[in-house]
Amino acid sequence: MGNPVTHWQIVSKDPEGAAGFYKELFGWNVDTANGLNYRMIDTQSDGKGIPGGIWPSPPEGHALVQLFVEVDDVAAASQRATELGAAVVMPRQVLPDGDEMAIIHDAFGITFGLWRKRSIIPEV
Amino acid sequence: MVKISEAHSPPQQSPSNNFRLRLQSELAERCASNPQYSLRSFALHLGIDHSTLSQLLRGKRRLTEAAIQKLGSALKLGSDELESYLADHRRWPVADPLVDEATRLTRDAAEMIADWYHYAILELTRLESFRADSSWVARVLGISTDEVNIALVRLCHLGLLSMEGDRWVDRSQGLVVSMEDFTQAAIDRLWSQVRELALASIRDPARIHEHHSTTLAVDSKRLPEITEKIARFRSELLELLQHDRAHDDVYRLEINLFPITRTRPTKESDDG
Repeated sequence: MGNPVTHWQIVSKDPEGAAGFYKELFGWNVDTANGLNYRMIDTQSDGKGIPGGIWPSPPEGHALVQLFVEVDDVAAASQRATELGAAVVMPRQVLPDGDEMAIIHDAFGITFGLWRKRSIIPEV
Repeated sequence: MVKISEAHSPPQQSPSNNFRLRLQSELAERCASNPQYSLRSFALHLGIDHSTLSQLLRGKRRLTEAAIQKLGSALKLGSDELESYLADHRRWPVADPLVDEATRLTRDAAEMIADWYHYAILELTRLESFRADSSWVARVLGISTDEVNIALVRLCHLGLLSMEGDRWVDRSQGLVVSMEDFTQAAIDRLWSQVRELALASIRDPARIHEHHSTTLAVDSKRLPEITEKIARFRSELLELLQHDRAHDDVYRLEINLFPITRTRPTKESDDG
């Protein structure tokens, strides 16, 4: 498979306010029924576009948008990223729903996520 | 389990530490202005390996004159500033009282997790009833899910916690965080938070809690002996509890010993 961008994420100091804003503006649906209480956004576009989410920024941080790229192997992609000069902000984690993710900071100042869906993880 | 040393006294700094402290403060500032900034990012900027930088920051590797020149140049320090660090280094090339053989978090890392609930989350993971669920953690600790999630990212970023599906695993074993690593503002915030937690506990008759406070006259020559006894008591209590398998709650133990006089009473001042 290729490495498509499959998810986007708004990081906000006021995640509840941001969720309300986009819900009001675009009619997006925000669902927090998951293990991290993650504000998962469905743009309600009949399969067009990609889903997103909203994550809280720490007080000392600032607002930003991150893209998540789907990969076959999060650990291997993290390693390759560091070989290319990037830094790992958050090493591979397995989320409560089984998805895997890591956050990378490239050498050009951009942070992005690596993502692997639980559905494509082979059962051991 | 992260052990937080209660001993808090101002760190003894010599000029030979200046450049290392300059590096620490530069990293702290960058992390404060960019939450995604990390030790690796800083190492990348400085053109050195991140593990080398980590050792330099923690005082586990001595800064050489060549290293100060290289890193100072990467930080674009002015020639006067760089020369002053080099002069200090030449004068005090060996003394480095901040070097600590224990495994310690860097100062910026300790600062990042100064709020009480970071440690509480780590301890919660040891409970049999623990649920890898931000809402559950938030409810148990009485904080918001956003606060839990921000803490979660910080702890994972620092390698103190890992998420493994339906388990969150405490990876902080053996780490020591000294209060010396916190800024005064962080210490003030932490004490204020702990005071609020203690007050809430006193008002809850349904839970077991112990609060003791004694005012006593002391012979100040015996203070080292007293602090040593307190340290031993803490160690013994931790030793007693850490092998229990069935943890079902998280408590906080606070031991404070401090002067309540504003200045030390002396005969001279009494005589006026």
